[in-house]
Amino acid sequence: MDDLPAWASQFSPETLDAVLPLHGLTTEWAWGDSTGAGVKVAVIDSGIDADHPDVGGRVGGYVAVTDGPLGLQHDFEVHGDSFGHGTACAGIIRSLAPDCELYSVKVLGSRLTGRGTTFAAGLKWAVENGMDVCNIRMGTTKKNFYAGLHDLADKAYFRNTVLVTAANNMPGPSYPSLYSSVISVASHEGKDPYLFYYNPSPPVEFGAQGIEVRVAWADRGWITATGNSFAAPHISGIVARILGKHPGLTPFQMKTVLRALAANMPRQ
Amino acid sequence: METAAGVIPARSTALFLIDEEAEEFDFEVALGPESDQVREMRVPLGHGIAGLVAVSGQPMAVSDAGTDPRQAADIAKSVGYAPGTILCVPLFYNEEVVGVLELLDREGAETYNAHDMATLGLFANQAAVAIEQSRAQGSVAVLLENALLSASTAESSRLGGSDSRAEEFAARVKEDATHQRALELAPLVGEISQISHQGEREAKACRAILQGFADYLRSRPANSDELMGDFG
Repeated sequence: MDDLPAWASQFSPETLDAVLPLHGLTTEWAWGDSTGAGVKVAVIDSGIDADHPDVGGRVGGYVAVTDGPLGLQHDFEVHGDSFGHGTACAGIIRSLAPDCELYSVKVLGSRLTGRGTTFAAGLKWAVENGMDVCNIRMGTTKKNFYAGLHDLADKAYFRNTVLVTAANNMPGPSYPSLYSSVISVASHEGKDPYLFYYNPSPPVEFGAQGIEVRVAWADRGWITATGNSFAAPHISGIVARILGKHPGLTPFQMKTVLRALAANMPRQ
Repeated sequence: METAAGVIPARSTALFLIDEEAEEFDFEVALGPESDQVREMRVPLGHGIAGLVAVSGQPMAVSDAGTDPRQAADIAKSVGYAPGTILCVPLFYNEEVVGVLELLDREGAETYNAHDMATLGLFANQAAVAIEQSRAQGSVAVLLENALLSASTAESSRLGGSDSRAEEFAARVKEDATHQRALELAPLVGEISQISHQGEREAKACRAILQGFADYLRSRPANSDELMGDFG
């Protein structure tokens, strides 16, 4: 076995794990009565207000990343939501996967400086701490983060962490939403939270409800809002339900399942 | 420069730049109802729709600002003008948010839609470059005024605006024949952005047509009268 090329030993029939067959896919097969129980979902955003009725008081853990004179700081104390956006995403995810375990990764405060750095650090924390799904409302347009975030996205992919990213609402690139290893989501005008489409012309591969959506917000309130960042958590919630029923699905298997169940895919 | 005049009519507009050290917004230019009061304001980053857009770097469309907790109700109250609909986009320069462009109270439609957001986003990208370049030349005030005129209707823009230098500049620009021709062509920018969503073949055809016409123009003497003779 020593003379095998690098990596070849992993493909020995004796050691190769059996993989899940993917045929005859239906929503019943994909998520059935799954509630997302046992699935860890990180909301990388402005924080989560656990006491909002849509969140239901259940947040599994907190980390707030800040960048100051002393460098990056990680604070694991319970925190709230600086703006309301993280709570909005958490509420959407909770509505689809009511028993998933939400984690608040707060990377967005009132400061502009260091946004890319805190975002990357928050994503790194989520990937390295066993999150199954990361809901990413934001990204960075800064090219100097391109390689580092690409590394993180690859690391997530190999660790079976599904990164669900909102596509940029503005014309122009945003990272990591353009990487092939993530599930990039934009909005459609439908009103069904389970209705999603597959786009065969990437990089934005899926469309979900994100226009004029009633969502949770700060101060225990609700707003009606539009944006790709409200579409992404719909896919995150569905992904959490699927993982609740099929733990261990890889990101590429997840894309395959979602593609098969998309509203624009012909049914047999 | 009323580039978006036929594309995104608004009752009022505001354009403000970020003072990063003070972590505040300066309302550099505001046009429309109660614009004089708005101009005097400084607003903390993160406050109101514009603050959220600046901090998140993402645009926002609000269809019922009166009941939306994101809206800076204190500002609306203090200036006596409460918008119903808002479209707000960030201005990016060198990958940083340098300001925010806001349109208030959509005219001609109930609310701002995704197409408006994309169109204003395209415009904002261009405006940000022009603004940052003009900062170095000390002409930012007139540039900003001009940019606001570009983002809304001429009629609504005339409702306010007491910066005489800026008004003179805007008036001078409006009288310029080249500018007038640009105005006539400007709404096509929105049409072209729509073509980009139609598909590769359509985009290719559009590129070929525009490139062909541009090549033809370059091959002729730069004389507008001759062009008018051919195309007028």
